[in-house]
Amino acid sequence: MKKKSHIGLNIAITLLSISFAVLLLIGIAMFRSNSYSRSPAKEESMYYYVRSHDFFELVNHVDSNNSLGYQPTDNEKEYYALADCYENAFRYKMYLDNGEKDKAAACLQVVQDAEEQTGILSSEVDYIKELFGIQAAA
Amino acid sequence: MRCPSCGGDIRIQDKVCPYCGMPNQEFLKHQEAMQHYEKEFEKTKTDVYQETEKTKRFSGRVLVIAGLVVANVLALLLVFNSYNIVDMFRTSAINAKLSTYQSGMDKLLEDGDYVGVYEYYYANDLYSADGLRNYSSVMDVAGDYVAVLRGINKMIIAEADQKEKDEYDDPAEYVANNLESYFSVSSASYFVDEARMKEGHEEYVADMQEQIRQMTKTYCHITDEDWESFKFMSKAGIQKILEERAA
Repeated sequence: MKKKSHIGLNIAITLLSISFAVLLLIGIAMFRSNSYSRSPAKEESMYYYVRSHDFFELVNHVDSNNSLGYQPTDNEKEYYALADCYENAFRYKMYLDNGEKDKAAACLQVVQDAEEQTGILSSEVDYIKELFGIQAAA
Repeated sequence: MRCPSCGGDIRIQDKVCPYCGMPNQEFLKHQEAMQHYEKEFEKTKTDVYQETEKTKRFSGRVLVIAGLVVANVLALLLVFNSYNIVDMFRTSAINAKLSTYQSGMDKLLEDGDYVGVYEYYYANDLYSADGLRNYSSVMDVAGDYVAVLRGINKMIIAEADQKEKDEYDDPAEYVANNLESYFSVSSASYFVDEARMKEGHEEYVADMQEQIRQMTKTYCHITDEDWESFKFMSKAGIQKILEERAA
């Protein structure tokens, strides 16, 4: 009789406890997804961009890493130099084509300085230079 | 009270008459009554205890239910407001370092590193800071600058590596889409709203616009007339010209 009188309340307690646990888990998951922050691109992903010649994404990720205050490893610094090389080679051709010789010369200087720091990625610098007609002009 | 046998004076609690020894009937009745009352008392006492216990258990459960209802409501509010709560913490963290972020953005803009400033703005979630609202116009143009640049780079690499045209990733379509967006944003009236444009940013906006024009001319082989006509064209029209010039 006693048990019978509280059965409704016990069911209510059980259901409310389950719904609270579920809501709490959803809340934690939503907090985690909403507080998502970018993580820096590491060597593996930068290697992927270089291999697929997606140099603009490399530039983008290097800028993103710098924005996050990420300190690159020695190997990653070579990718950073390659990104610098590509960005300035792109601008070099653009400025040269539009008659802005001083700006083009400044970009070419950055390409040449960055080239020295590309290490094992120097073959990619040749590809970039050819792409933007630097060898012929320099 | 008198003994019905000898008439002697007896008390109710006397078991027998002290004078004649006759059993005291009143005592027996009294004893029976007392036993009955005691039983009644015990029963009532037990009932009261049981009722109290039952009420206590009921109240306890009702209290637990009330607590759980409140907890559920709070959890629900937490779920629905999780973005706002996280955003509030994020914004206050940004506001605490606002001057650092502001000088970081200014330095990148001064250097003409528009891809860098765009990444800096989004990597650090600076769009949610009220103190940086006046960077929104320059960031709108930087967004278009980055998008057009990305498309042109796709075109350059696709052409150099002789990549086959992908139905879902057509560089010319990508550039056309972003150029159309660029022209609609840069001609929108809100763009020149002073509240959204910090003093001195006009120079960076003009530089980005000029670079967008120059890079499109250089790498998409378009003429000045093409560029002017783009301002009034749909995405499909721009794409058609880009494809014609690339051929």
